[in-house]
Amino acid sequence: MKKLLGQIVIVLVISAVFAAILIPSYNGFVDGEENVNKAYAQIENQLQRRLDLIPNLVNTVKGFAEHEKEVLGNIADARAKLAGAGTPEEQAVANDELSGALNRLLVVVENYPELKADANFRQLMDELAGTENRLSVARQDYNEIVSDYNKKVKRMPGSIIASIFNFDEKEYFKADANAKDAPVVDFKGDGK
Amino acid sequence: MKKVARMLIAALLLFLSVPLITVAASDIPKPQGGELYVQDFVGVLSNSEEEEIEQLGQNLDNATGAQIVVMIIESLNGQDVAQFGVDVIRQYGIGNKEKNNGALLIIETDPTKKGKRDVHISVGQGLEGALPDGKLGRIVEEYTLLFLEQGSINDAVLSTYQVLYNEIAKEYGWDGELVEPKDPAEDEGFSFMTIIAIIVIIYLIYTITSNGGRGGGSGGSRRSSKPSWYGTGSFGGGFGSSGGRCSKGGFGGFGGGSSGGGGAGRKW
Repeated sequence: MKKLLGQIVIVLVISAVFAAILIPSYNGFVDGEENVNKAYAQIENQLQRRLDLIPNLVNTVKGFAEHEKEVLGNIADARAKLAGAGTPEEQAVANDELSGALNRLLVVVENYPELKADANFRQLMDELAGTENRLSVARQDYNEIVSDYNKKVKRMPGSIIASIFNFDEKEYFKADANAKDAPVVDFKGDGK
Repeated sequence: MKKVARMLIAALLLFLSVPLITVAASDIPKPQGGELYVQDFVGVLSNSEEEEIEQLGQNLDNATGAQIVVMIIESLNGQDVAQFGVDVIRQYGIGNKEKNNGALLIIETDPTKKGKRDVHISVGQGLEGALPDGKLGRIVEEYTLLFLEQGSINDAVLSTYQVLYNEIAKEYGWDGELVEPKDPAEDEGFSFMTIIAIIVIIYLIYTITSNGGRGGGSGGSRRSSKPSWYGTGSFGGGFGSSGGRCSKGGFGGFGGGSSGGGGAGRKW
């Protein structure tokens, strides 16, 4: 009887020790995952803000430069792609594409002094530029947090617990190197 | 044995090739002692102008916890100004830690880079409601840029500071002594008259509120003098070494605020 009691105590002690090791580590992963999600929400906020600003911008530009259909069309396409993107990497790629399309618009705008002087247009461009800056800050913060998290997932002894409870590596918000190149600006193509 | 050596080399190579995610640390000048809200690394502002800004900044800080900092810098060395602004706000900790209500005016002055110099206002997330990017762009155009183009960095700094001060005071519903920002569109005569009028009004209010006999002069001068921590002692020498307000995080008086990248700017 006494022997059995002793065995129970030993089992209890061992499981207590295991729990003491496991639980904080597990909670650490839960917190880490939550931080990653929070940081990603910041990126999504800014992407959404960008999506919201673009129709206004396109409408304003149309009022002054109606026949720049190609440039405006590219922006609309890129915007739609971003709106439909799912994973962080897809979003990053689509977002860079949209940046390229917007850059082309900026080149075209140089030909329309009235548009450039328009208060509404200037305000929209400021908002858009600010959104871009916020996005780059949010992206940096997110990638840093993901990097910390992924290190925890991959390194011993955390990796054991991570694999038991299915904590996976998180994706960086990063586009392919070649997707980043801004599209070539064609000065001669005067937007048919 | 050879195998072991090869494995060791492979391990070493693997170790070296681990992609190091380095945060591009900007080249940020350390905040100068002496002043808090004025970080003039070029030395364009006069003592009295610096005092005026410090006084405004201190009043606003005391009342709302928001902090406006002016940074005048020779050159950003090609750094992106928006990123630089975020880094400065975060590194200095401009604004309250919970409210993130710091604002930072950056003016680049390098005389050899005309037309390519940055003037930019960055804000923490707590001020993005009061000072959205579109509005900041307008403030930069209507005040900062106009004065800069007229050749006065000093007036550009002062007027912009005053405008930001007013906007932030309004945001917090603080009716504390709004200041009339210098208007670049005004001609000299009118603004002189306004100043006279303001002085007269202030004088009248002062004489009415302070009942007669007491020496009005000394009270007035005391009010305009610097707060005691501002003086010679507490800021001198290295940061964090002296006592008083310097004890907080190493940079005296900054609140630990952050920024999410809000702001707007122009080239000049």
